[in-house]
Amino acid sequence: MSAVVVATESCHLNSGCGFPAPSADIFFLQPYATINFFGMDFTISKAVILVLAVVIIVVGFFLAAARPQKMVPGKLQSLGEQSFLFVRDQIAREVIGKDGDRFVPFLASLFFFVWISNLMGVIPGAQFPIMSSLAFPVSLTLMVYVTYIFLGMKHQGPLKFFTNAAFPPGVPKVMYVLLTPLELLGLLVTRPVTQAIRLFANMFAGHLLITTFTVGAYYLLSPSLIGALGSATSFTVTVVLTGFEMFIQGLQAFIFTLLTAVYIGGSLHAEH
Amino acid sequence: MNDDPTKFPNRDDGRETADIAWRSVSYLTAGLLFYGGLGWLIGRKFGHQQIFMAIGLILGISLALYLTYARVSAMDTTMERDTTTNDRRTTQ
Repeated sequence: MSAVVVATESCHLNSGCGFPAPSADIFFLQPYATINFFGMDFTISKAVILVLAVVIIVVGFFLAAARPQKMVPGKLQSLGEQSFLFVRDQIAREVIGKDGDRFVPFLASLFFFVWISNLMGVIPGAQFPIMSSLAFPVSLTLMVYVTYIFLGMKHQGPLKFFTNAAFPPGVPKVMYVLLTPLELLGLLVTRPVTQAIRLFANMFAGHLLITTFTVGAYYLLSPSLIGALGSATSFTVTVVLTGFEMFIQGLQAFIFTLLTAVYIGGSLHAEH
Repeated sequence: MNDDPTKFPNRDDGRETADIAWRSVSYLTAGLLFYGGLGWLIGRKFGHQQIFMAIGLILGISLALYLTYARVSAMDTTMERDTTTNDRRTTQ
């Protein structure tokens, strides 16, 4: 049980203990078990269980949707096809172009995995957006990073990929001295870092905000006018923020996948 | 079949626009980190650390903005050059 929950349970407006504001502690989950695997400790926490659940949900959904291949699709097959087509038309073809089709399985897996992982933040019982644990967005970004570096070196040539990136078009040659470090740093460091942090920070901030107002609604609940009004307002804000957060969760999953497509597209097509 | 313009809207234009939009964020971060860091290092060695770091940060941001501007300009030129090809493709 986290410190916030313990503090909140015995804390109300007039009990004189002050508002137990949630902190970053709520993101450090208590381990259920620790498994030693070849000298490395693997901690099983709520996030690990949730991530396994997300994998089962996403894989299960698409397997179930793809299994009965009928000419007249059922509801499940239709939903599966529409979801897949959304990623193909809105992300892969729109951003990468005609080469985009072969990356649709990768992009669709990424989109639905990130989206359902984010959605865990508002599902009762789960209530923890997996991507607010920095390790998960970092792992996904590393996968994307290796993919676009590999594709770039394969399609443009190992050295040409880096020289194409290092010397931007439309710039006087004198400026290369100043600009090449920025291009290389962008390609190798800040691109993956900003991609991971954008997803992590959005999920982290959203969850912290919802928790603050939820704790606020509970804390203010007391037999007084200010308490009742404050609690009702805080609760309303929680509901509104939850709706907003669901929108952000979808949007961030979309942006993460879109960025992946942009990077892959950039690796496939050399700059003009 | 793959060249049907209705099937692949915008094609390269869409990719390049999205690319440059997201790229600007990474340029700004890279500019601040690299030239800010360089300023910090120079200041550490020769004194006046705050001044050198401030100069580095401003230089980093300016170069990042210049790079974004140069890339967008280069993109516009490419698009203008490709217009005739696109028109031909659409009318065929």
